[in-house]
Amino acid sequence: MLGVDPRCRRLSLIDLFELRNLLDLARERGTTIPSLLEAWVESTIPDLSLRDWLTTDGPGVPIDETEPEWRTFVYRRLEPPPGSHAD
Amino acid sequence: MLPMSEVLWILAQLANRAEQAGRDGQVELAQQLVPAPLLPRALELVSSPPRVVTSPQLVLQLALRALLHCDPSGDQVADLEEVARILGLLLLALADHVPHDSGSTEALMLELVRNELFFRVHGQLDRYEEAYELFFHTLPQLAGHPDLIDVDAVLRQAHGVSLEGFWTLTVAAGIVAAGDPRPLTFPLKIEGDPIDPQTVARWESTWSINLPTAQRLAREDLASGSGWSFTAFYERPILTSSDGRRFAMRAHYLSDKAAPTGMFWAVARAWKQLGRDHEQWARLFGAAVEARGLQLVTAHVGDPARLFDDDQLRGMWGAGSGEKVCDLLVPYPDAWVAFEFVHRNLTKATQTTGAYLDLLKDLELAVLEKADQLDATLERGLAANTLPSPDRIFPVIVTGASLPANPLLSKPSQPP
Repeated sequence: MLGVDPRCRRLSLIDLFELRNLLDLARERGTTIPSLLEAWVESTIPDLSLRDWLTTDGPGVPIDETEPEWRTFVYRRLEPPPGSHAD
Repeated sequence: MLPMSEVLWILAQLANRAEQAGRDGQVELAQQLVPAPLLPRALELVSSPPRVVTSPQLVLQLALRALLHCDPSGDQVADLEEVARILGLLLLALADHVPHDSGSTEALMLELVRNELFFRVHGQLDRYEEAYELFFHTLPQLAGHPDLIDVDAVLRQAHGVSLEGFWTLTVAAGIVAAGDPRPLTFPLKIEGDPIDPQTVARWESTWSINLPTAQRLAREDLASGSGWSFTAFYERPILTSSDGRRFAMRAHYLSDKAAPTGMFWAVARAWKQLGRDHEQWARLFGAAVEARGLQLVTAHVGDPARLFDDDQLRGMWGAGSGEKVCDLLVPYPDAWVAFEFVHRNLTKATQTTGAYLDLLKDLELAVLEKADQLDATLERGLAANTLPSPDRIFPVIVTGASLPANPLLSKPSQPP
């Protein structure tokens, strides 16, 4: 099936954050996962990572200007404790 | 003999500057380091990867040799610029001796993977987000999992630091290290001491390597002959130099520790230190990766009727003789996207060396079995004819952490 059936595109390997990039970008651009995957695997650089393609020949990475939860989590723990003399 | 501590300090600065420099920046670095008569040869090599005179790879190669051949008791030198110029000459000499693959297609694909492994420095903040999701949201939701481990308790018991404190400090150090051309020095100083200094010291010791151990690993790295082996600086990226200074030889190795791969291995090391079974942790982390992947796709698609998980696929198309069913299928009007989620991280050998046999082993463990599951599921699905037949099919394997093996998947019908 893989590599034999002409309908079947090449196997893609992505990591979790690239999956999130893919889904966010599909939503942001009003397109679908298959459309983005098709553009990547048919590009001239399918051997590079999805992230590399998105940031070079591809449509770019999704833009999210909200403060991510993980950053708030980290910053809160790095704030000087109340009563410290740090300015 | 050159003094070890000064040489390592200068090389750490060069590694950081080289990391952050583009090709133009590397030319500028070469101009600063290499005497004018030899500059044409240096510039020629700058445009001839992988023998770039001022690439971080080459700088770390020289640092491995500095660990073994410089004088650990050497006095501080007055003229650091002179030492830097000597290092420039050594880099130029070394550049002509970097192990270099032949021009075969296989070697080219491997080179792409190695480059991706070594230079994968972008998107780190996105990886932090995934680590945060996995460790603070997904894992706690797996309360009923047979391999459940309390990661917070493991880190407290092994290192005396909570998961929150451990990850927060690793993120903070990673962001500062990656954003500053100067090497990050330790102890880590945080304004106002929001985390008590004893905890910070315990955290630091988990990522620190002493000089004799770094030297032993450097000897092994050089003996491997690969040109990509940097175990002396990778797993424990904070080096205690011969004069007692502590710093990260390569910022990226430190910043990578707060991403899923770094945290996976940090917990694995703590778990092993407590005498426990690595596979239990690996299985649990795998379950978390699958749960997170399913959650992301489910939230994106929205309508549950447009998703088929492994149970539904088994019910609809059967499991076949080998019980091979993929994790998720998303049918579109003209296309199917079939997902497999996999927990397998790169082994430490692959992370640090990119050796071909290590890659093959990782690929086998992480990908080939999953490709087989995708293949079997899709074949049964097309034969069953219970869903509209697609014009296009996209098999996708999602890993918990980066596994830059796409170049090796160019011909999935002929696994490497």
